[in-house]
Amino acid sequence: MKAPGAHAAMVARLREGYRQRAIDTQLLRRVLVAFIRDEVQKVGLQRAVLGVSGGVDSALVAWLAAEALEPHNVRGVLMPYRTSDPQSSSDAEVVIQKTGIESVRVDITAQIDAYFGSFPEAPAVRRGNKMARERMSILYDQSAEFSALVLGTSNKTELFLGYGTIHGDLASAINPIGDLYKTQVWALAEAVGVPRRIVEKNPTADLWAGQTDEAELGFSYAQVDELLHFMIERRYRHDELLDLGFEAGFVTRIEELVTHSQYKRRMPLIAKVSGRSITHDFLYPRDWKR
Amino acid sequence: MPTRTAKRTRTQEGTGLRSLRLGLAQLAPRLGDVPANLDAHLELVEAGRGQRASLVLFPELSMSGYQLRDLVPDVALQGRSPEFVRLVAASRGLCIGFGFVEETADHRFYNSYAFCEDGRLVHVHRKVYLPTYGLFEEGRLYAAGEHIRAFDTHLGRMGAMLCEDLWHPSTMYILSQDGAQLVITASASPLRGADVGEEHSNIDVWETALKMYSQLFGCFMVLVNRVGFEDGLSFWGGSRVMAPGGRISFEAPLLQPGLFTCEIDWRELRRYRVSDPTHRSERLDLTLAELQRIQRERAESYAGRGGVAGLEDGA
Repeated sequence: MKAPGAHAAMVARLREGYRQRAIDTQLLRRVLVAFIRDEVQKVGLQRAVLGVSGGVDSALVAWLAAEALEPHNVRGVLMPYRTSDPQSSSDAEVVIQKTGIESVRVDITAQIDAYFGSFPEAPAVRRGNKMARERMSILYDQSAEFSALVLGTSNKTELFLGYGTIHGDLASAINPIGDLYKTQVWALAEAVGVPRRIVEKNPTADLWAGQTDEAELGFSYAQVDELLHFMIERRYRHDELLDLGFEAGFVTRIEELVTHSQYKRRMPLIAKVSGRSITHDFLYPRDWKR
Repeated sequence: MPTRTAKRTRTQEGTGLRSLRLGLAQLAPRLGDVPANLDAHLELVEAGRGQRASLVLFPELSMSGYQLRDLVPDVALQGRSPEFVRLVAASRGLCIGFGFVEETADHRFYNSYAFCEDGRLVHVHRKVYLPTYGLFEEGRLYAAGEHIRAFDTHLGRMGAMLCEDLWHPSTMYILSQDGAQLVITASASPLRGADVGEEHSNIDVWETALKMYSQLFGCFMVLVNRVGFEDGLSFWGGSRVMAPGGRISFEAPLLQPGLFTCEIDWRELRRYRVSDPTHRSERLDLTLAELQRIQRERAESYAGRGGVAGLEDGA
């Protein structure tokens, strides 16, 4: 028999413990800066490109990359569409200006509209995904022109929820922030000096007017990060999460999002028919002789 | 791999050693490139010699890199491999310890650590506990070592273990009972967790274990951990030396490659053991008898079920 008072106190202590925790921003900054420098240089390059949206994720990566490679070796690409919020562009300009990185602006309106001219009935999600892939295709072209690696800017929360476009914003050569939850991105961004306005603004993929992540997802990053912390990092099972006071519908919804988006976190499946197959049993590290 | 069996006659008092200059080589090996890593080793050994180090230690798998997967057979060395011979020879006038993939005559592969003294191979430790969980897959790649033994050097009696070996207290217990005065733990430890406070990183966990062992076993604990990145893993460095009793005697910087030298006072071992003589009353006979009883009872319990492993209720 559990004493209800003692149980409630334990739950309160655990959840309070989560809220009180803090990342070692100084250590993380050093690790991630060194990671970018090391991975870029060991493939024989000096430079990196990234899409700068005006949001906190790409701002943080821009800051880390500028520190790792020197600002002139980093190119931030601004890729607005005609419906993009002008505030996104002006925040992106702030990132470029404050980090001192190079910048290129490519308006994607013409290419998106040319394509959807043939599919005028396409819903917003299709259009949003297409924009994300156009942008990534531009980043890879820019990387060839600039002799650079493409830096990913997807955070751990988005990656777990599948809140990103496969082969679009989820693509990259290396991703320095893919193991940081959104709330940790905020903390690190603030610590490295990303302007408070960008850290504190409402997160949005800005794929259509008025879109915000939290409205589209139906929960806040603070809520989902706390759940993911116990579910993923601490390995709490479904019933144990309910014991912690998480609402059953919310837990189930997140479990489904994580499960259903697993394909987005993996390389394409290769049908194994030989004795030694790529991804199955040809298991060489990517940093082979690097 | 042949090793020289030294007679256990030399003690710390016998060597008359007052202090020892240690070089901790925080290397970032090039993954799968033994010739490049040999050059890096030779360079750091020479740097150690230049800084009058008596002992230069490299991390786990320093000659090959860590995340080898299918590269294991490609980078394996035998006692006659030219890279191995050259590195052993480089220990002329000092001691060096380095990590490598060892291939036996019958083509088993071990995650091994070699200790050389004055141009000769003195000891090889084959990693006993191969982590095969989470991000680790060593049990897929290597055979497990079958010995845990201390060894004599002109500096004193030492023990060597590799990373995960440290997380099994029996390893440390055996080395301690075998007379090790200084225990080397060579590591390729990737950073896991970067929280401050209660949910700390594995750096704190390592520090706690090293500190506790140097207190409980009254010996020097030396951690030599690599740096650099492999496939997204970040190795944290932070090599350190604990004096008997748990005092941090030296701490190399986190993440930074290089050779870090420090001086340790050998006489600290005697001072600590005089003031804290728990070491002398350890009941090896009792420990052995009880372990044998546990082993016997486990076997009997299995036989009692007709040799069928029963299902056990999980929590």
